[in-house]
Amino acid sequence: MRFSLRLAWRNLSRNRRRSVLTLLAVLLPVLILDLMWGFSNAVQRNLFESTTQLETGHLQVHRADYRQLQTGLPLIQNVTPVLQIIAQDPAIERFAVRLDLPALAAHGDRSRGVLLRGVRPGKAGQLSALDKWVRTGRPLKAGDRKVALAGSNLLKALHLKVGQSVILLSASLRTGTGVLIPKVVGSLAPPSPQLSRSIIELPLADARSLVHNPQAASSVVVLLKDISGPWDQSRIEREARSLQAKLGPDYLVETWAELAPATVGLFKIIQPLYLAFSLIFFLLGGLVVLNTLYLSVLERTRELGVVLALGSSRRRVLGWIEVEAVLLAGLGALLGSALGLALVGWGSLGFRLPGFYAEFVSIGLNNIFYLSISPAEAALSAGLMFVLALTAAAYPGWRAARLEPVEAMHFAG
Amino acid sequence: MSRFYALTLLLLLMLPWAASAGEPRSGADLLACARHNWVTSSYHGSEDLKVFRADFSKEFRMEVWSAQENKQVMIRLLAPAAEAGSGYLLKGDQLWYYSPAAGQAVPLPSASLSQAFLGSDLNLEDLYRGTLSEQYTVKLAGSRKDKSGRLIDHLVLTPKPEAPVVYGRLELDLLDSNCAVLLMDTYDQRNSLIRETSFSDFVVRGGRVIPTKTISNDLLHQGNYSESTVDPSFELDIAIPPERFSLACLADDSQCGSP
Amino acid sequence: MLLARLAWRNLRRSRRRTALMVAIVALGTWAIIVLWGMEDGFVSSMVRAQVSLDTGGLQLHRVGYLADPDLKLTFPADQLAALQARLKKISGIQAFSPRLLAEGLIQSAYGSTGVEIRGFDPELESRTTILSKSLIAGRFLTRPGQIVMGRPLAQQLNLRLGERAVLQVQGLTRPHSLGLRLVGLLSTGLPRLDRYTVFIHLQDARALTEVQGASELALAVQHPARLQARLQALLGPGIKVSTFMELNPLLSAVSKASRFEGWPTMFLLALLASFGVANTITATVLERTRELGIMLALGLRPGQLKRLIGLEALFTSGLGFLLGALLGYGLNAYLARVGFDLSAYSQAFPDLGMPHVLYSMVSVWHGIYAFIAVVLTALLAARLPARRAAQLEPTEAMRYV
Repeated sequence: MRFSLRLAWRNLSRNRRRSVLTLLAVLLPVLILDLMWGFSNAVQRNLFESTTQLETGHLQVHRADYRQLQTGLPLIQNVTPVLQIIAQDPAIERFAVRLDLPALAAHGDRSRGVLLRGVRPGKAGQLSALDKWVRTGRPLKAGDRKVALAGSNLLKALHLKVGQSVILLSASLRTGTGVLIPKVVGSLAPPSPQLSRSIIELPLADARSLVHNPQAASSVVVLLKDISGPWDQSRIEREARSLQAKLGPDYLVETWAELAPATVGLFKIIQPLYLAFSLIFFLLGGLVVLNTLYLSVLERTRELGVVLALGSSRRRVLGWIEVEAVLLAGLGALLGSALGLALVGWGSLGFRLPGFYAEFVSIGLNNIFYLSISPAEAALSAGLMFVLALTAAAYPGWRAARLEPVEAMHFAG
Repeated sequence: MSRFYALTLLLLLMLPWAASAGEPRSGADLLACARHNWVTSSYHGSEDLKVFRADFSKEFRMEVWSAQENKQVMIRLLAPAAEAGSGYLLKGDQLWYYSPAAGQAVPLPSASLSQAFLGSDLNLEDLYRGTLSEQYTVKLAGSRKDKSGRLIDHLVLTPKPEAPVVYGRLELDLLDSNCAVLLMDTYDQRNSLIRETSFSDFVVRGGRVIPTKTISNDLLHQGNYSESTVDPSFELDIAIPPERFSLACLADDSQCGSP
Repeated sequence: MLLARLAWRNLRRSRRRTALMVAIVALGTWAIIVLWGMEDGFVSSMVRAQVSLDTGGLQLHRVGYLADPDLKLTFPADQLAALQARLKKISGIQAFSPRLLAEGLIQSAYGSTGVEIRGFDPELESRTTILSKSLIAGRFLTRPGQIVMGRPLAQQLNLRLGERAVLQVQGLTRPHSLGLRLVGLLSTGLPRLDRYTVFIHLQDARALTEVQGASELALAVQHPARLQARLQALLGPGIKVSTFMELNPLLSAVSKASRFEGWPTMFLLALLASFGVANTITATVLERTRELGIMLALGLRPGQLKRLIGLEALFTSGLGFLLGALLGYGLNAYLARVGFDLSAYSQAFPDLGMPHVLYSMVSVWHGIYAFIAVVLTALLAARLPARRAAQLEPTEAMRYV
C-alpha cells in the first residue's frame, strides 16, 4: 500500500498537466454546486426575510377568534400578560405590538372605509413599519403623535393632500366610538392597489386612543432567534406550538406561512425549480468528473500494460490506480469545498446585485443578498463528486487489470 | 357596533304596534294589520339599550326623533359618558355621524350601516323597512290560546324566490285581538332556529299597543343578547320642526328649531 | 475536405471517447434549454394564470377609474355600446367582456363580509377568460339571480350550494340589496378571486349599482404589449388602455425579478457545462499525444493538425448540441403542454397564490444561450490543445506516455 501511494504520488507529479486537469474536474463541479446552493439559499432567505422581518414576523399572536366573522373587533384587550410570556421565552429574539383597526376616514364631504395600522416607530417598530412604501413626505418617527401616513390611492379618493388633516372614526361595541384628527405627513405606495386605497399608518399610541385602551393590540409580531430561511420551518412550527401551549386557548399563534400565502406560493415555484437545478448540476458535474477521470485513466492504460508486462500483480495495479484516483478526487473535492465555502463565506457578509435588481426592491425584497450553505449541502456536493470520481476511475482501471499486457499497450479506448 | 345596535332597535321601536280595527282572517291580512299599525307620522322619545356579550355588557341611553314615516331620524346619545353628545342623522338613505371630538358631521357610507345592522343580534331591518309582505309569502299556520286565554295566531313567512333575505323562514306569534307581535323566530335555510326576539311590556297609546321591551337572543353565539327598554313617556304624531333633521342640528343642539 | 474525412474517421475509431464528448455537450445543452425553459415557464405560468383567469390581456377603463374606482367613473351605457362596436372592428382582439365592479357586502344567515363584486355576461366572459373552467362544484352562471364564488369564501360565510345569499351595494344614489342563489364554487388558486370576489350576472350588478354601462372591458388578445399602443391611439385620451402587467404591478415585478434572479444560476450552469466540455477536449487531446505525434511523423502539417483537432471538436460539439437540443426541446415541449401538476402539493397549503399546474416554456432563445455557452466554449476550448498539438515534436510526442 505504501508503495502504491508513493508510486501514485510520483505518477501524479510527473504528469502534472493531466493531474491538474483531473483535479480541476472534481474541484470545479464541487465549487459550482456550492455556489449554486449558496445563491439559491440567498434568494430564498431574501424572500423569507423580506416577508418575515417587515411584515409577518416568524410568528404572530392574535386573539383566538380573530378570523371568525361577527366577533366585532377582535382586539387583545390587555396585551401585557402576552408580552410577559413572550419576553421570558428564550427562543424569541424580539417582538413588536401592532394594532390593526377597521375605521372610517373622512375629509370634506368624502369618506372611505380604511384599515388603520398602529405601530411603534423606531427600532421596535421595524417589524411593522411601512417605511419601505413611503413615497412622499416622511416615515413615522419615535415620539410622533397625531400624525399619519396614507395610501396614495386613498389620498386621491378623499381629495386629501399631504399636510392636511383627516378625520378618523372607529367604532365597536366594546370600545365605543373613537375620533382622531391626525395630520397626514406622508403617502404610502404599497404594491397592491387595493391596499393603497385603504391603508393608513399611525403611531400605536394614537391607534390605542381610538379604542380608548392603552393596553390594546391586534397582534404581537414575533421574531425567533437563529432562523435564517424557510428551511427552518419545522423549528418555527415547534416554537409556535410551544408558545400556543404557554398562552392558552384565548390566543392563536400563527406562523408566517399562514399569514403570507403569496410568499409561500413563490417558494412553491422556486423550490421545485432549485431542486431541478440541483439535480441537473449534479448530473452535469458528475459527467464532467466521469469524463475526465475516465479519459485520464484510459490514457494510462497503455502505461499500465507496460507495468503489467514488467510483472506487477494485477491487484497491485488496480490498487495503484485506485489510490491515484482517491488522491486526485479527494484533493479536488477538498479544494473545491474549501474554495466554495470560502466564496460562500465571503458572500455571507452580504452583497448588492447590480442596478436592474430594482425590481426586487419594488416588491419589497431586499437588494442585499446573503449567501449561505448548510453543512449537509457542502458535504453532499463534495462527497458525491468524490464517489463519482472513484467510480469513473474504477472502470478503466478494472479493464486495464484484466488486459493482456500486449493488448493494454495497444489499447486505444 | 353600538351606534347601529341603537339605530336598528330604535328604528323598530319607534314604530308603534297598534290594535287592529277589524277581524283578520288570512296570514297576509294579519301581517298587513300589524304593518299598517307600525306606520306613524312622527315620534319622539328616549330609550335604554343593554347589550350583553359572553364576557361583558354595555348600556346606552339615547333620545330619538323621527318623522315622515321614519324616512328622517335623528338620534342623540346621552350615555355612556364617552359617547354623550354624539349623534346620527338619517335622511332617506343618507347617514351622518357627529362626534363632539370630530367637531363636524361625517358622512357614513351606507355599507357601514348595513354591515353594522348585520353585525347585531337585533337584525330587524326587515321589520323596519316594512317590506315583509313584499319579500315573504305569509301563511297563517294556526291559532292557539295562551295561559291567560288570549288567542294567538302563528304566522309562517317564507321568502319569495329572489328576495334579498338570507333566512329560511320567519315565524311570528301575534295577538289576534290587536295584531301586536309577541315573538319572532328566525330560522336559517337549514331549518335551525338562529334567533329569538320577544316583545313585551306593552303600552296602549292613542289606540295602539306598543311594546316597551324587546329582547333579542342570538342562538349562534352563546351569551349574545340585547335588551331595549323604551321610556313610556314617548310621544306620537307630534309636530317636529324640519330643522331637527338638519346637519346644523346634528352638530349643535341650538340649531334644532323650537320643540 | 480530406481533413474532415480524417477527423470523422478518428471520431468513429474511438467511439467511447467520442461518445463521452458528445454526451457532455448534449447534457450541457439539454440542461441549459430545460432549466431556462422551466425558469421562464414557471413565471409565465403564473402570469398566464392571472391573464387567463382574471384580467385578460388588456383592459379598458375610463381615465381616473383605476386610481379611484368610483361608480361615477364607469363607462355610461352609450359610451360602452359605442366602444364595443368599435372593438369588434379592430383586428387582434379575440374577445372582450364588459364588467361592472363594485365593493359591497355579502351576507349569509351566519355572517357577512366585504367583497368585490364582479358582474359580467357569462357568455362573453367565458370567451375572454377561463374563469368558468375553475369551477369545482355546481355550475357556472347562466342567468340573473345566481351567484358564484370561491370555495374559501363560501366556507367563511358557511354558505352551501343552493342556498341564498344577499348582496348589498351602495349604488349611485342609494343602497340596494339583492338575494342571489349560490350555484357554483370556484377554485382559481388566486387568493383575491377565491376569497374576496363574488361573480354575478351583469344585469344583477347593474340593478345593484344603478350603473347601466360597465367599469371595465377585459380583452382577450394575442399580443397585449403590441396592441396596447395602437389601441390607445385609436381610442383617444379619455380611455386608459392597460396591459395585465400594469394592472398587477406585483405580478410584473415578481416576474421581472425572477427572470433576473435566474441569471446567476444560469451563469454557473453555463460555466459548469463549458468547463466540462473544455476539460473533456483537453483530456482527449492529452490522451492522444502519441497518436498525434504519429500523424505529424506521417507528414501532416502542424496547421492541418490544428484544424483537424478543431474539426473533431466541431463535429462532436455539433452532434452533442443537436442531440441535447432535440432532447431538451422535446422535454420542454412536453412540459409546456402537460405541465407539472402541483395540486397534490397545494393540498398541503390550500391557499397559495399560484396556479395548480406549472408549465415549461419553449423559446428559441434557450437554444441560442445553450449554443453560446456550450458549443462556442467547446470550440474555444479546443484551440488551446490544438495549438499545443501543432507545436509537438513528432519524436517526442511518440515517446510521450
